[in-house]
This record gives sequence, C-alpha cells and structure tokens, in this order.
Amino acid sequence: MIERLLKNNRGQIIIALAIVISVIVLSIALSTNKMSLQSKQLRYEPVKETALALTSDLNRALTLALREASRKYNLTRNYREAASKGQDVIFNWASSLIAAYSHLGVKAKLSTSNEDSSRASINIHFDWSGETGISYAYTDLDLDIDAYGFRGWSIRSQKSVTLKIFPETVRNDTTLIFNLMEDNKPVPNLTLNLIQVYAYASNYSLVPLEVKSLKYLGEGNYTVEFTPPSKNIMGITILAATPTENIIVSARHLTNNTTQPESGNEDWTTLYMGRTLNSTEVMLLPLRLWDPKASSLGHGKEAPVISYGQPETHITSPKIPCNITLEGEIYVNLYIAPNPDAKKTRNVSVTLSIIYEDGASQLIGSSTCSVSSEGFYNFNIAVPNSISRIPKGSQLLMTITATFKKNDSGSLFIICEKDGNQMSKIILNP
Amino acid sequence: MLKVHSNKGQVRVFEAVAAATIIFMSFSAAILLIRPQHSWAIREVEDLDRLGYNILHNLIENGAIESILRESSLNASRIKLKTLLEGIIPIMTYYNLTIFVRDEGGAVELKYYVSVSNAHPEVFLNSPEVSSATAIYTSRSGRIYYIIIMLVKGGG
Repeated sequence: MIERLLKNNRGQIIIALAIVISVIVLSIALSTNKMSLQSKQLRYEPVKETALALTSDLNRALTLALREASRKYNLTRNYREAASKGQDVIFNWASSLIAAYSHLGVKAKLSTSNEDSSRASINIHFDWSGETGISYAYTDLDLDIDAYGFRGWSIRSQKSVTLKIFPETVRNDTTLIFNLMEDNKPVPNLTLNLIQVYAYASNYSLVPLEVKSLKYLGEGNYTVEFTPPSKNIMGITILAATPTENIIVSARHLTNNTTQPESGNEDWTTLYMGRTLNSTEVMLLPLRLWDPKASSLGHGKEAPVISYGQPETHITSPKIPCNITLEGEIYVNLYIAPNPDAKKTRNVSVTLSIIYEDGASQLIGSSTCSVSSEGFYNFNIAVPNSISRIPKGSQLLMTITATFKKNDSGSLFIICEKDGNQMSKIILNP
Repeated sequence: MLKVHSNKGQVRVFEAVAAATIIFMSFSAAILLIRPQHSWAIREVEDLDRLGYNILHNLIENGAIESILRESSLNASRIKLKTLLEGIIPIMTYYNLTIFVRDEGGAVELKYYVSVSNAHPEVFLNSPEVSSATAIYTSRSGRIYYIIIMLVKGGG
C-alpha cells in the first residue's frame, strides 16, 4: 500500500505546489490591496489652487483699494480720508473671504508691519511732491485653511505706480519727457484723456494747462506738449491715471530749484530733513533750500540716530518766511530703519511744536507708531482748533522719541535721501 | 495490467488539470485584489477638480469673467458664459457654474447672481463622484463675486 502511494505521489506534489503558489500569490495580492486602500486616505486636496486663487484676488482687491484711495487723495489731498477709503475696500474683501470660504475654515489676517490692529489693514503711501511721484499700497496676508490642515502661509501683496519727470527734458515750459511705470513695468497705452498738466503758480495754486500732444517713446517714456503757462511759474505738475486700473499718480518739477534758493518762492508746506550750505545740523527744510553737498552721509542723505543712550532727537526748521495755514491734521511720513534689522518692536513718537518769534513754544500734537522693520511709518497729528496757522517768523520743532528696553543695544535711523526713495517728510497742509 | 496503466495516465492528467485550475483561480483573484475597485473614480474626481480650478483660473485671469459680468442684462451674461464654457469643457462632461455676489448692504451675505449648466440638477445630486471648485473674484467695479463650478463625467 505504502509502496503504491510512494509510486503515485508525483501528481499530489504538483497539486501541493499549486496550492503553495496560490497561497503566496494571494497573500501578496491581499497586502497590495490593503496598501492601496490606505493610499486612498491621502486623497488630493486643492490646497495650492485655493491659496493661489485667494492671493490672486487679494492683488485685485489691493489694486482696487489703491485706485479708490488715489482718487480720494486727488480730490481732497487728505491722506487720512484717502487711506480710510482704501482700508474699507480691503475690509470688505476680508469679510467676504471669510463668508465665502467658511466651509473650509479659512482664517485670513491682513496686516502691515507698523500697525497692530484687529481690523484688516493696508499701508497706503502717496508722494506726489517731487520729480518722482508714487502711489503705493501693500498688505501682508497670513492664511490658514483648516479643512486641509494648511496653516501659517504668509505672503505680501503690493501695488505701485510711479511717474517720473526728467527735469533736463523740460523745454520752455511747453514740453517735457516723463516715465510712467506700474509695478515696475512700463505703461504703454496712456491716452490724452488720462493725463493732466498744471502750472505750479507762485501762490502754490495749480493752473491747468491744455495738453496738445502725447507721444509714446517706449519703455514707459512719453513726450508731452502743452500750452505755455500765462505767467511766471514755480514748476510743472503732471497728473496721470493708469489706463487699465485708473490708479492716479502725480509728480512735480520745480523750475530753477538750485539756482535761487533765496528767492522766497520755496514751498514751506512740505518740509524734509536736510541741510543748507551753511547749516551745521539737520533741519526741516523745503526741497529748494536743501543742498545735497552739505549732507552728513553724502548724496543728500541724512540719518539722525536714536538709541537707548540717546532716545530723543530734536530737528527744527529755520524761521519760516510766510504764514502757513494749518487745518485738520499734519501728515508726518518717516522712513525708519532699525539697526540691526531685527524683528524687535519699539514705540516711536513724533511731537510737533511751534517756536514763536519771541521764543515761546506751543505744542501742536503727537503721534505714536510701533516700529519693527525698515519702512515708511505714518504719524498723522491732529491740529487742535486753537491753532490755525504757523505765523511768519516762527519755527517748527519736531521731536522724535523711541522707547528702548534696558538691554536694547539697537538703534533707529530716521532716513531722508534727496532724490532717493527714502524721503521722510512733513506735510503741514495736506 | 494494461487497464491499470491507462487509469494511472488519466489520474496524472486530472491532477495536472486540478493544479492548473488552482493556479489560474488564485491569479484571477490576485488580479482582482491588486486593482482597487474605485481607483478610476478617485482619479476621475481629481482630474475634474484640477479641470474645474483651471477653468476658473482661465475665466478670471484672462478677463473673461470681468467682461461677462459687465453685460447689461443677466440673460446676455448667461448666454456668453454658456458659450464660453461649452468651448472649453471636454465633451461628455456635465457642468454647473453658479455665481454669487456679495450683498452691497451692511451684512456680509452672498446672494445668488447667475447660473449656467448643461445638465439637470439631479445629475449632480445622484452622481457618487461630483467635483467642485471655487474662487473669489473682485471686479474692477468693486463688487465681490463667489464662483462655484461643479463637474461630473458623463457617459459612465
């Protein structure tokens, strides 16, 4: 019997081998199947698409905010009203975002480096008083999308339009060449209805001039021809709106601004930190009296320093040769650079006072900002009703104070650079 | 004697057939197990999600949605939108694009604005795999829109 089994067992071995192979194949297949079921948990989530779509729309909202703010600023020359207009746009956008993406648990915080506000905020900056005019806005977006477990994404959105007048191209007060850039890209399709040219009269008023022709030269450069002004002027102002976004920007060219500083035609409503040829210290000066050769750091650059050892600096103007009407508020825009550029926050206060001809002084007001990184900071000082003007013959005193902790070895530079992008200034009558 | 030998041969053939059948069955079962049953559906929804976001991105960044929303009548907007979508969405794909607008009043509320579709709403309710993509759009006029596109692969 055993002999017969041994003789006939070759077929049974084949079946046994087949069963072993089947078990191995099935166990591998089961393992693979289990792994593929687990990989279903790692399903594709459209995180990138959602985050980029939100960022892209923030850029559109910021453009809209700058457009609305620049329109308001052009109409009123009131910075606070203009900035508030832009803030409203961003605030609406942020609240719409939360409503639209509530199912994804989207949390978005919009802030600027110099404001600690719970309200969505942007920084809007207008500098239309020099040969390079700028309209600029930025905000920092911090984004969390809870549904995707996506947290801590941070990005800066910014928009800028610049208009630069080339002073050497001004011919007989009837033609000049200027350059218009949007986000540092040339704007090629400007038309006559988007540009206005004004004569800057000696009484600081703007007289509109008729634009005869506008020719595009490439790279954002244009030649504009306009009717000659009817009387002596202090300069030419150009105001332009970008063709697609309608963001307004303006720049001003003052004629003879270096040959006759004593002519009495200075614009004392906007003061910068600088030196005259004879001054030994930094002063608050109109642009025309500022001599770049006399600056402490060369190229018209001044950078008064405040630190723990000297937490306060005083800068005065010369005696102002005309009455300056004050109304609403004074707009102080300082470019502050911490050294070292650490993310340490310090409170900086700016106080303005009038020193009358008889030596008596009167406080106008003060404003405080938190400074953590290099950039422009706005100190808007409300003028009390009791002060209506800075009388002729008096001086303006600006006191800048910073709060430093005991072990703080850093310092703050208040930078003003003539013809540069870091022009700290005081606009007395915005 | 001769009969016993012929039986042996039949047994060998039977055993070989049985072994081949076992191996064949185990390989068939393995193939079924290795291929996930719904992988096609998962991949399809992912593809549709990507398609949805691409469509919204193109509509917004090319300025098409701005020009459509600027139309004076809702009907004109609807016709333009439908024509545009049918040109870019692949055939045998059902879509529904709905636009909401932020209420201009004080409260933050999104109100229905316009919708276009090439399928009955039940298609989106009954299909097990519906893709949806969303985007927020701030127009040049300052109005804020919320756009949703739903996609379903048809013919399956």
